[in-house]
Amino acid sequence: MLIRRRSAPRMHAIVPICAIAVASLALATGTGAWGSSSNKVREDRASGNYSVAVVHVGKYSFAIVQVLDDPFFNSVFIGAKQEAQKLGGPISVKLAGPSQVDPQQQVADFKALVNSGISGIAVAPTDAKAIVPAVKEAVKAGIPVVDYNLTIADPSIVISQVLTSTLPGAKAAGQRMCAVIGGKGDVFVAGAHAGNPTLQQRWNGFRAGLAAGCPNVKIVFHVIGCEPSQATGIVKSAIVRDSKLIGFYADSQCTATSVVQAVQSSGLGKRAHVYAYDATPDEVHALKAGKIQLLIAQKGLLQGQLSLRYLWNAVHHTKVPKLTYTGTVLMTKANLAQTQKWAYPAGGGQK
Amino acid sequence: MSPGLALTDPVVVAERVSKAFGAVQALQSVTMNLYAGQVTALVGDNGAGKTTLVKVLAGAHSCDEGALLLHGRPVTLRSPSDARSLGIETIYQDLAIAPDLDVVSNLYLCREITRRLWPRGPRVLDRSKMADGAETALRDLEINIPSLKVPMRYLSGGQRQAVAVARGAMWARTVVMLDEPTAALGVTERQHVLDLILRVKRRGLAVLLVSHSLPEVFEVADNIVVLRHSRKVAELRSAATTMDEVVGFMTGSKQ
Amino acid sequence: MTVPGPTAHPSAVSARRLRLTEDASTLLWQLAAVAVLFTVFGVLGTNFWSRGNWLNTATFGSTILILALGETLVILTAGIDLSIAALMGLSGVVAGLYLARWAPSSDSVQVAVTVAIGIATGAATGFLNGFIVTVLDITPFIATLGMLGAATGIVLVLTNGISVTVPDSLAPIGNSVWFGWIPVQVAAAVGCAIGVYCLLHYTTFGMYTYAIGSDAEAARRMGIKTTRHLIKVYALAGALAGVAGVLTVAQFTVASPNFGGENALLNAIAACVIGGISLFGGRGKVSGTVIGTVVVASAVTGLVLMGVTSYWQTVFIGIVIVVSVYLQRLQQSQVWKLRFQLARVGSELRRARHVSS
Repeated sequence: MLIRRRSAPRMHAIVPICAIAVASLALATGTGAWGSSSNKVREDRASGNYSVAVVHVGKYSFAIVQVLDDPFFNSVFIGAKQEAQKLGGPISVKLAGPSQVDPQQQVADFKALVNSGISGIAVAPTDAKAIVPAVKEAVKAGIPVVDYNLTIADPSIVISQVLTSTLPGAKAAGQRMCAVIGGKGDVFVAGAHAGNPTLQQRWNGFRAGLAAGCPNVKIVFHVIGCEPSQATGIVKSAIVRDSKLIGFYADSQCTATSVVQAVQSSGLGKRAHVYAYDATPDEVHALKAGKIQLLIAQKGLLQGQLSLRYLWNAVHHTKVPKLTYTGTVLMTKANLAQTQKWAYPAGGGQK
Repeated sequence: MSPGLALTDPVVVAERVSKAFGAVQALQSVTMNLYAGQVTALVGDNGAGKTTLVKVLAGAHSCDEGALLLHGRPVTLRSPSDARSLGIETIYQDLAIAPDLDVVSNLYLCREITRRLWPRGPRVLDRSKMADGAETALRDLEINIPSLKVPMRYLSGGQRQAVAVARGAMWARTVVMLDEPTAALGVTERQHVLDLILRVKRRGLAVLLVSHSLPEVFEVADNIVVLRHSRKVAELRSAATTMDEVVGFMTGSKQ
Repeated sequence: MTVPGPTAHPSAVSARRLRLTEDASTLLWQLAAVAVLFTVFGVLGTNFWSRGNWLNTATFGSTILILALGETLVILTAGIDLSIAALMGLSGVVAGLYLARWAPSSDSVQVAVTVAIGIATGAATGFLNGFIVTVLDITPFIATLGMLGAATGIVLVLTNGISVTVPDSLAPIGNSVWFGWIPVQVAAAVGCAIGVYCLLHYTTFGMYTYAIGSDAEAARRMGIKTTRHLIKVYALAGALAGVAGVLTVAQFTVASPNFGGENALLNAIAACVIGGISLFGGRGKVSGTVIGTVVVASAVTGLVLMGVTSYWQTVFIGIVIVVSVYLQRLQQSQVWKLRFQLARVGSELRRARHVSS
């Protein structure tokens, strides 16, 4: 999951509900209209940014409820489409709803889907608790629900969880940082927001990994926020204050931008080691340019594939694993050839 | 101005002016003459139409019927700017000054003196010329303000009123109209403003004074026009009438 | 006119000095506050007086200053522009996307076009703000709040929610440092400050801006075309936001949807308020805005140098705002007392002279 600042615009609730209504209507009347064996994916966009993707496979329709429209979820969506194509049958996709991080809005979208005759839903809950009643409703209506990427408060109600497991990747990065700096110098950890459990795991994992091998390395931690000018100012101040800062860890895409800028403009460029979470296009660009040394990429593609597969299995009454960790991949310039495929794609599911 | 002297031609004539607001008739065929170098007081009870007449002359309202004559020639006032460009200045009761700007800036508001930084270059405010102009204008009217650089909010009510009157007098070429200028002032300040009005008159401008206070009217006005229920009921020389008579016209006991 | 005599008599202190006293004392207060702040940071913060900190604070502060200058213009008219930071983001993103996606090349001509597009975007959206406030007669708070939402949304639509890399040819505009001490942002900010100062203090445009803020109805009655003027003011503020946007996108060579968030808006308004720009309009000077920006920018960096968690930043700035406004009010009431005393002395002396003559 990519962390972005919370102030995405709040749009009227009518839009997603109307859009989903349209989607259901089309579903009810148009399913037979498509040719039989075409595997080409047809996409319908209700608006520029979307928070719900409905993938139709044959007579089934599965909804992927995203948290926001951004590269990570694009990779999830692409994975789901790939899986749908493998399962055969005509596929079409309806994307609906405005992009937002609002938990209540997500619950509303979810409920609308339940009422629209959907076959299965995969959801990444913005708020682990708020989504629970809606999920219970879905389960009562016989609709299987998969929880992916962000944990739900009550895992027993979903048929499966497909999660990233933040800690191992972060820890591995921390251990690697310790090795790379040779136990000398200080390390800066940049946080995007306070009070976000996923982010906290990213910080704690890294700190644990680092402390394990390098207990004497000082860790400077600041929540720098996502606004680049201010965030860069804070990181640069930290560099001015502590000339021994040599390692930098950005917990997300937005902090990565600022950390890279701060490190570059402070003249530390060649000597510093910059690690960042997630693998958005500009992060990968910075990796290739040598401004970032390590990226911790989540396997969104895999999560999309597995989510769709498990939903398919569920409607066909096949057994489904309760919990899967897709893990993370450490991307470096050196292993880019093998790890490139985990890089998050640009744009709204354009591939 | 001694009584009995033959009246010269009026500078401004409001001829049979009528104005209605919806169902309410504010003015009905009112004719009023204003003479250069004389103060004409416009009196009447509340709702008689005094402010409407002033606003028509100031260009803020158009008249439904009737005409306005300036130096004998008919003029059309489509906006307050038209009136100002004809040299008709109005000082409203709320003064229309900007309290955070100083005296000089208020006197020259919208009429600033500018100079070019270089030939065909950008225009900048010529503050020294404006300061001189302001000092002259205030001195000519014997207005004493200790500092022209102070924001107007720090001046007393009387001083602010004086500056507003001075602004009107500075730019007027024909008529200065004052709407209840002493209403909010104390005794001393009121006297200063009345003295000021006389000095403005002596400049040769026609002065229209709207006032509720008959003692004031009799102190400074040469002519008195009485409005009652949107009509003019009397036009008198102040020297030739008494306060009782005027009150009679105002209340309707005299016809 | 009371003419001050050669001797240093109380009456010699004419109220002409009153205006100077008020302005001078405001400036003195502000400089004293800055001195205190710098002393505290200098002592408790590490390397506060270093070149690195100067470069960092100056760069960061320049963006705030440019936004604060735009905000100053709007606040002086008794309005407010809540969208100014979002307009900075929108302008930067539009400019960056132009160079990244739609420009035929990335040579210096296209870079110049990019800069022009950024500033024009800001000016156009600012113009829209002015239009909504005047012609549609929607109060500035609401109008600019709506624009804030719209601009933020448009940025997300344009970038699809992700940061887009921008060609490096734009980088010098945001990353050059001249003589090792003057970042390009500082030069731009100083230029804008001088420009706005001259506009406000030497031209009729400035005079009308203060007049409208002081009493819009009076301004209108005196013949100032308030609608036209206010639209110009908001458009100018938008253009300044555009400048800040271009500088930001050039600095990061990334068109990010995160540019210009609530923090930037808060900092800009805080800088204005701390600098003595009255939210009621009609009062305040550019020198105040500059000093307010110095306070805000050095607070952000200074706190980090002191090792204080960044959580305390907004707390600190909030406290500084309240204290500043309180002190400004104290100072004004002192000036009021001084005026009374001067007036009393002056009138007594006039009476004395009258009697003696």
